[in-house]
Amino acid sequence: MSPTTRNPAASVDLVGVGKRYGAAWAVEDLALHIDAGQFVSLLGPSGCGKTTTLRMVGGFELPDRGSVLIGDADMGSLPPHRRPVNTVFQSYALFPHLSVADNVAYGLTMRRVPKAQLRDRVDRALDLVRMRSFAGRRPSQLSGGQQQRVAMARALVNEPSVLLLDEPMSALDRKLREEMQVELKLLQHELGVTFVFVTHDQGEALTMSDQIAVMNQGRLEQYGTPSEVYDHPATGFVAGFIGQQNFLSGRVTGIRGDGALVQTPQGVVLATTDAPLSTGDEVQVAVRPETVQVLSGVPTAEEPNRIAATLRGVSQIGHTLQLVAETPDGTRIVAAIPRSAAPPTQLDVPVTIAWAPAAVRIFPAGPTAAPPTAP
Amino acid sequence: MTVADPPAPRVRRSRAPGTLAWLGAIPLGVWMLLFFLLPFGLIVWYSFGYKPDIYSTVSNDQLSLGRYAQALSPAFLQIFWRTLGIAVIGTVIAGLIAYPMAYWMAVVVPPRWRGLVLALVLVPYWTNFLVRTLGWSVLLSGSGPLSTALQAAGGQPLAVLNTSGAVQLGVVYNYLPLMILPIYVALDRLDPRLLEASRDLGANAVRTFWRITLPLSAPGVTAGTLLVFVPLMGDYITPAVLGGAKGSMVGQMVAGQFTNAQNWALGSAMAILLMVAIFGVTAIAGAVVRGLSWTLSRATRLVPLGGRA
Repeated sequence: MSPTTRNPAASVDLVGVGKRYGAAWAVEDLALHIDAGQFVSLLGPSGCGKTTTLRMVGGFELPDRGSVLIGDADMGSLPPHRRPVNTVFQSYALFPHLSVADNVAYGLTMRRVPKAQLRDRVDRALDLVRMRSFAGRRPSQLSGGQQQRVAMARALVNEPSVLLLDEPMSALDRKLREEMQVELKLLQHELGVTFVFVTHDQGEALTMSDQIAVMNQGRLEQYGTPSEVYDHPATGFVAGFIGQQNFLSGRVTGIRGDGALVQTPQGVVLATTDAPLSTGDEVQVAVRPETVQVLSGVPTAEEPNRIAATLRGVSQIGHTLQLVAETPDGTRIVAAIPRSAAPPTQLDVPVTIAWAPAAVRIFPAGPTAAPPTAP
Repeated sequence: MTVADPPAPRVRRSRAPGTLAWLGAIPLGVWMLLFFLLPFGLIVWYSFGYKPDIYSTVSNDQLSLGRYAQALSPAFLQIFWRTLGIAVIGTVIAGLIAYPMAYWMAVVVPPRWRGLVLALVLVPYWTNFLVRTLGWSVLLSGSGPLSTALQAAGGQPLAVLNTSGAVQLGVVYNYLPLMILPIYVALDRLDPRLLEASRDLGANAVRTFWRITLPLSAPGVTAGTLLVFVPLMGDYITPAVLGGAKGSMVGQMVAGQFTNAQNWALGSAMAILLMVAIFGVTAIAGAVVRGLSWTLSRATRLVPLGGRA
C-alpha cells in the first residue's frame, strides 16, 4: 500500500491530559510526545490508564483536562470518524454480518471511494496480511489469528496517520502471539505508520517498541527506549514491572564517592548511584537475576555485595540456569546464569551470592510492581 | 503465522447418547396434537360442512365449498380490508414507536435501571387485556374525562370512540410490548464495540445506524412484527370494545358465527380464509423485504452474503 499512502505518518502529542471517572482520575496529567512513524507501547498493569489514553487519542473518550494533538492539529472534541486514526480493537470487533472483504471495505465505502478502486485497495490490504483467499468468508468462520489480521487490514486500508492497537494479541495463544509480534513490527516498519500499542505484556512491549511509556495508576512512570526502561528504570515500579528483579529493603548507612552503602537484613549492599541520598534514608535496592553471581562456599570476609545463602533450586531455561538461593532469614534471591559458566548446582549447600556495585539500582522505599522475585 | 491455520471448527451439538432421547419430544408432540392439529383439523373439516337447521351448529353429511363462497361476501371483504389496514398500520406504528423505545432501553438507560424500565413496559401486561381496553373506552368516550376537559377548554366533545381510529389506537397500545421486547433483546445483544469500530472507520452516527445497528437488530424487528401482526389480524376484543359498527374487524365476524349465529361451518370457513390471508400477507411482506435487502447488499457490498449467520 505504500505507493499510494495518503496520510503521511503523524506525531501524537498528549499535553497535560487528564480523564476522570467519578472522583477517580483514570489518567492524570499525562504528557507524552510520540514521533511520527514510531512504534510506541503504552505498558502497564490493568487499570493503569493505558486503554483510556488510547481511547482519548481515538476520540472515544474526551479528556477532562489537557489536549490531544495529532500532527499539529488539536483534536479538541472531534468525534472518532473525523480523526486521521484507525483502531485495532481488543476483540477485533469485526462486523459479523459482513464478509471479510466488506469488513475491510467498510472504511473506504464510508469515504465514498469509487467501487473499481475499492476492490483493488481491499485486495492489497488483504494481501498485506495474507488473508486474500479468505475474502468471501464470514468473521465467524475465521480463527483468532485470522480475525486479528482482518482487523489489521480493515484499519490499515484507510491509510491512517496513526494506528491505535488495543491489546490486539491478548486473545491469541503464545506461539501465534510471538509470530504476530514479528509480523506486526515488520508491517509497521514497511508502512512507516505511527503505531500506538497498548499492552500489559512487558515482553511484547520490549520486543516491538521504539519507545515504551510505562504507566501506573493513571500516571506516566517512565518514557524511554526498551533498553532505557530495562537497564535504567526510573522508579521502583518500572524496575519491578519490567523484567525480573531481586528487591532488598534497607537503610543508607554511608555515602562514598561512587555510591551508597545500604544495610539490609541480608547483608551490606554497595550501589553505584548518583541519586541524591543521605545517611538514614529508607531505600530499596534492586538487582536483576542475570547480574547475580553464585559462588561456592561461604563469604570469606565481611565485604559488601557478598551474601551468605543456601542453594534451594536449580532449573534449566534454554541456555540459562535459574538458581534460587535462600538467605538465613528466608529471603529468596534468583540468579540467571549461562550454563557455560558452570555455577554450583548441588542443592542445600552454602553458597555466596555476589554482584557488582554497578548492577544495583536504588530506589526510595515504597511499593513495587511485583513481589521481589518469582522462584 | 501461516495462512493455512484452520478456521475455527463449527461446533455441532452432539447427539444425546442412547436411542431413547426422542422420548423427550413426546410431551411437545402430544401438546401440538391436542391443542393445535386436532382443533385445526376440525375447523378445516367443519368449513366443508353446513348449518342444517336452526338448532344445530354444523353438519358434514354433505361436503362442499359453499361456505367459502358464502364467506367471501362483500360485507366480509369490506371488513377484511379494514382489518388488514388496521393491522398493517398498527404494526408499522408499533414498530416506529418500539424501535426508538427499545434502543433507548438497551443503549441509553444505564444498566442498573434497565430492569425497572423493562418492568414498566410489562406492567400493563399484568392487568387483564379486556380491562385495559375498557379503560380506553372510558377515556375516549364522549362523556369521559378527556372529553370533559376538552369541552371545558372550549372544544368539541370527543368523537373518537366507536370508530376505526379508536381501534387503531387500542391495538397499538395493546400490542406495543410485543414489539418492544424482541427489538430490545436484539439491541441489547449488539456489541457496542461494533458501533465504535464503525465510528472509527469513518461512519457518522446515522450511517452507523443504517449499516450496523439496523441490520444486526433486524431479527428482533422481524420477530416483533410477526408477534404483533398475526394476533392483531385475529383480534376481536379491541374492536368489540372500542370500534362499534364503524370499527369492527374480521375476528368479530368469525366469533359471531360461532356464538350468536351458531353457524360453525360458516365461521370455520371464515377462520380458514383469515388464516390463509395472514399467511399470504406475511409471505409477500417477507419476500419484499428479502428482495429489497438483497438488492441493497448487491449495490453496497463486495461479497453479498445470503441468509444469516
